[in-house]
Amino acid sequence: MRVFWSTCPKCLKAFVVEWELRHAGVKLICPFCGNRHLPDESAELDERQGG
Amino acid sequence: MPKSEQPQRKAHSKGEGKSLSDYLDLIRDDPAEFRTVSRTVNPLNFDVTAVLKHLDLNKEYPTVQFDNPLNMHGEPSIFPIVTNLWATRERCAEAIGLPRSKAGGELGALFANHVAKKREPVIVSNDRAPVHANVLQGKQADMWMLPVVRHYEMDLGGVILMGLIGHAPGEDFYNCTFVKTFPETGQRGGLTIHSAHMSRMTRLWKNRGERFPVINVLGHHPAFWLGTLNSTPWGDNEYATAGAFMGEPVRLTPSVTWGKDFLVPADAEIIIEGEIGPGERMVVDPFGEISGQYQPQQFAPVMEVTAITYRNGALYQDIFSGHREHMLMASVPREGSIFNHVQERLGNVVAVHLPYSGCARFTAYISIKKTGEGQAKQAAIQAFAHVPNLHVVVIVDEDIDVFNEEDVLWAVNTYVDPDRDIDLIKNVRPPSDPRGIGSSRVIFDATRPTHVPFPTRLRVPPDALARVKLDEWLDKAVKGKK
Ligand SMILES: [Zn+2]
Repeated sequence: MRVFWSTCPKCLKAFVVEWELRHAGVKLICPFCGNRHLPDESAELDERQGG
Repeated sequence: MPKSEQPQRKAHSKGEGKSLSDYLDLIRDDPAEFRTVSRTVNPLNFDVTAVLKHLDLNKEYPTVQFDNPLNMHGEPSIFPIVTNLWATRERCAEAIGLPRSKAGGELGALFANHVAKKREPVIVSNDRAPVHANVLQGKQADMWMLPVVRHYEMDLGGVILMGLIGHAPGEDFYNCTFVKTFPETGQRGGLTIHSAHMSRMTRLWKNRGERFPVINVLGHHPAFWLGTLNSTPWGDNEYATAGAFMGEPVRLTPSVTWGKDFLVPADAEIIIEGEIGPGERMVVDPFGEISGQYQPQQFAPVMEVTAITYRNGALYQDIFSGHREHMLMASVPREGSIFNHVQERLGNVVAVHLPYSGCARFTAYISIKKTGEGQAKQAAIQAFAHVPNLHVVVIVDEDIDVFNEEDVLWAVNTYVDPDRDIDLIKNVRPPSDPRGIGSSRVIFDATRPTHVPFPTRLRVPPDALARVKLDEWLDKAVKGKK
């Protein structure tokens, strides 16, 4: 299972997300502040693939 | 409704089935097994898991009852929380009527034997069902009235744990699996379903374009849960399996929403009745899972609540996920199932243990009576075949105690030649999770080599150990004496 990390643009805390949500067009929900944002609106994205 | 207005629970009356409270009566006088917290706690502010984590760090594992929690509206809840119920093997044994002395290697095998003994449920009318003493429907059926626990800092929010029960369209066998319900509002929540049978049922209902009726059972006698946790074949009625573990038939009653088309456990504490809409999904997670890591944020099916019912004086049951309780719930039945599977094929198994260090799920320590080379790997292959999500199997000789991890790792360190005794099985199935090993499996043959001359393990002669009684031979300790 591939995952990525999104950093919330509101509270700047990062959380882990399944890759299925990366381009699904739905807003992620920040577990720390409840803010909803699209992955591309993240303050930071960690989507390295390794290898 | 303030708690003082909630009708009090009556003592167990004749004709009623076993309940959670009946089990708590067995342990509530022993502080090592049962503790209470009377002060007001906010379960959404980690008050509950902070208490449990402190106890865990102290290596204390009592069941804990929080008498005055807040609900999700921030108001006093009418339901106390009971959690950490299965955190010791001894309580798992006791819950199914076994003596605490049977909590070691034999516990798994005894569990496995129970699975074969079905006990068909009986049906009782609603007025004989304690769980229907209070029935809420419409807007009154509000999941936020529950003292839902937020467990870990990255959890999306409060999560209702415990079992989801459903049946396939047109079938009358019921399946129970542990799920997480994320109550977005009082009437709507996302459900994460991980078991194969429940996923199949969800698919079957979705393919028909129909709503999938389900119930969330929040609290029952521990034997009920331990019975339904066993992996049974598709088509088995898990109410009948639970009956075998309860030592009595599970009493069922027609549901509020679907009547006789969906039977619910009459002696449960709280039941949420709901329906999963075909194809509807919402964003849920993260949640602190069995692996000790967070389940990433993901899509999940959506349940809409149709009714909430509860008994007088109902208790809200929760699980300390990612800790011993969560681990033992699944590992004990699985140890027995692996034991039986490998034993039926090879006949040389002594004991099976799924240790906490492997999250009680990913690693198996198996001891065998070895009579020749190759037998260790045969046993490991059988274990992998039986339990696909095992990642590591360590096989040891019968003189190694699989419940003593230091003993097992001693065998790994002294008997394993990495070139000869470690096998990597690649690409067993596609990587399904981010927990490192992913698609591959590892076998450690940590049995003493028999094909070459090899040293033996040191030991003090057993007859000397039997002859010397420590309390007779040691002088009485006197503090300060030189
Ligand atoms: Zn945030």
